[in-house]
Amino acid sequence: MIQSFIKKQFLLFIRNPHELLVLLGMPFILVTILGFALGNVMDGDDGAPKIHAKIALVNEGNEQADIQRFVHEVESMKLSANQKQMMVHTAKAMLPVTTLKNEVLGSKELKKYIKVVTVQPSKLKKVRQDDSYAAIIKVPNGFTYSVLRNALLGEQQPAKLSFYVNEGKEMTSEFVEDIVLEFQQRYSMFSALGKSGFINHSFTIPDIHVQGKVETVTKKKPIHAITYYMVGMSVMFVLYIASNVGSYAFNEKQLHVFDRILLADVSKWSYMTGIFISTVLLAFVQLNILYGVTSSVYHIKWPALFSFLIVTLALSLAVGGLGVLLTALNFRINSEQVSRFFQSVLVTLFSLLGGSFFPSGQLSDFMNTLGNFTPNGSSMSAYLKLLQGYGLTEVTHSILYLCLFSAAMVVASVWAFPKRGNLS
Amino acid sequence: MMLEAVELTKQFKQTKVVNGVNLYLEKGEIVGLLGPNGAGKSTTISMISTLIPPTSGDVRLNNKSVIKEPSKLRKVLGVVPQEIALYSDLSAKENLQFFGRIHRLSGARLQKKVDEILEQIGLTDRQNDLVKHFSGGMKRRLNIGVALLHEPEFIIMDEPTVGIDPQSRNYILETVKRLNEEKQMTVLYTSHYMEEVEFLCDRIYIMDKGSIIASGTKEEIKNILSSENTVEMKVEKVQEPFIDALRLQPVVNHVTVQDRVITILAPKEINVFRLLFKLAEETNTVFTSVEIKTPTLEDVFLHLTGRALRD
Repeated sequence: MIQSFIKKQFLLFIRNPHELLVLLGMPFILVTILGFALGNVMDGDDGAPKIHAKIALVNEGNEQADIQRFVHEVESMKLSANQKQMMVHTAKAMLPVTTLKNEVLGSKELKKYIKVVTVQPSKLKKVRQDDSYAAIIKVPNGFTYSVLRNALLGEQQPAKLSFYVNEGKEMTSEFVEDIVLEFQQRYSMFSALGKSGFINHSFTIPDIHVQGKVETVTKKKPIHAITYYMVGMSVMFVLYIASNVGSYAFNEKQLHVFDRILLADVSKWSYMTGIFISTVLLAFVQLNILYGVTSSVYHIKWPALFSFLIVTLALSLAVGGLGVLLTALNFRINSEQVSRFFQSVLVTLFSLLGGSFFPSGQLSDFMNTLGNFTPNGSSMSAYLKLLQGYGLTEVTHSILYLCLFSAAMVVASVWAFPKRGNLS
Repeated sequence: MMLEAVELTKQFKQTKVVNGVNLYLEKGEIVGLLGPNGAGKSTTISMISTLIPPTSGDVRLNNKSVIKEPSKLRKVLGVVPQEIALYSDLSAKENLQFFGRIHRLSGARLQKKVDEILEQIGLTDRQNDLVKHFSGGMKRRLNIGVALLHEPEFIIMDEPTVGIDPQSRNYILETVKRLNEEKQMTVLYTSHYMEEVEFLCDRIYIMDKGSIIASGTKEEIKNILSSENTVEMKVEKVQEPFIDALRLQPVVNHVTVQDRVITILAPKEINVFRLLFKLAEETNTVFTSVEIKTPTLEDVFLHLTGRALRD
């Protein structure tokens, strides 16, 4: 019987060209328009990232004291005067912490994107609880001394910088992580050169060049505007399936078709199950068509097809939950107003928060959190991660959230659906 | 097999839209439920068909209540709603298939039933056309066809001929008659078209303002007016003073005016002709004809409620 509801629902959608145009044609057109029109803005004319990160730098050591300690040690060594002079000179010039703070993180190039806040070690705990920081770089005690010994004497492994990332700001924190890694690699190279005796006091740490695209960073693949909007528009327009299904169902009530269904001794639960499953399937098909067509036309590759299908199914379940809730509410207030309100106001609001029009999560932490609470926003994060090359485990929380969202909507619809006496 | 409504009452907030309705249907009969718009017919039907629960009273199938367990009745009951309860974007065949499936028909049995219904309602040639392209009459026929899919023993038809052309109307009436004769289907037929009820029904319930005000066979109901005559006067021009004067006469029961035809009810034992001609002369009314007619159900309704069915 559920099969009949599904078949009927599909036939009704297929026979409605206006709906099809809105659900399939419109998002594709918008992807094209937004992708090309905002491509330069999104991708950045200068290839620079659109990121504003606040980073805490916690220095537990004392750079000058470390250098002095190293210089004393060198002077007491049995080395030639020339060797001693070169080492002391190099040691005084290296200043790894100052370089990281002023020349790397504080460079003119990065200053536009990163704000470095020097924090006392005693406040580390407090900073770690502060969500406004994208990352914390902790310089351990004796770091400079270790770096110098490693680079110039080759005696021990250098102390590593500690790096804490804010999981809620994975894009920006990974960006910073990349810079720090690059910084460490340069010092490793410096150290290797030192051991080989190739360096002299004129050697300077090379600039760390930052490349990036729209909120992309790191070693993961960049997201281009077309790809971004493919996801943004698809997760937005799939929400219309829910409102349309709600409207169709209310229309069935208005036309007394629903009475006929009840008179066929079909329980309201079977009816709601039919609504839920058909909405899930419609959403799943719509998303696959949208992604399929857009990916083919714009040569977008999905690195993990299985993960993509799992996220798509989870989003479809969430849309199914919304569809069944909107149906229940329409029936309860005996009006199509709930569907219409969802279609005209909530979809736009969800899309704005979820980042369908622009990466709104970058505006503030609050926006980011709020966006991730919307089914479209949550699924958008997951899709973008998959497109960047992340695996299924990195998007599990989004999948779980979407499934929970779906379950919550179904439970709410069970509560909202009117009792028998108020059905007809 | 018998279906009955016992003291059915439905109250919405402070308004009683149906008040203590009693009626019954016995196997193989066609029963008419007659009443003007707003009389409470559709609410009564909704309660009998278990779509809405009554505020008080009961619906019984073979003397067992079906209010709490509607399944038993729903299996043997077909309902033709007043509205076109169909999917306009599906074809006639697809509609029948969908409703057949939800009635648990499938495979060859469903196919056979769909073909049979299409034949019965005369839409075999148009089975693949979308309902939205159908005429009003065709939609009405399909509306009936859907209710017949599960071969119900009882069928309730709520004004199934509203808004269609006379040809389609006759087709539907003939179909109802045929279903009753050939399949022994029990029919509860509501209408405000008196002639339909007269043509189809064995027994009639007349309903007004939420209550049954008369019931019985056609003859029994017409006998309500055995003591009265219906006098129909055709006039050249309707003069308002004449109508007012008629209404003031104690021997004249009910006056209706339609175009240039004035109808009154008056006791048989009183010769009203002299009175009518006197009033006509006083108000400059010119008769083109005056005749005494046998009472119709319409006259009975007028007598009982003080207004015409389609007022």
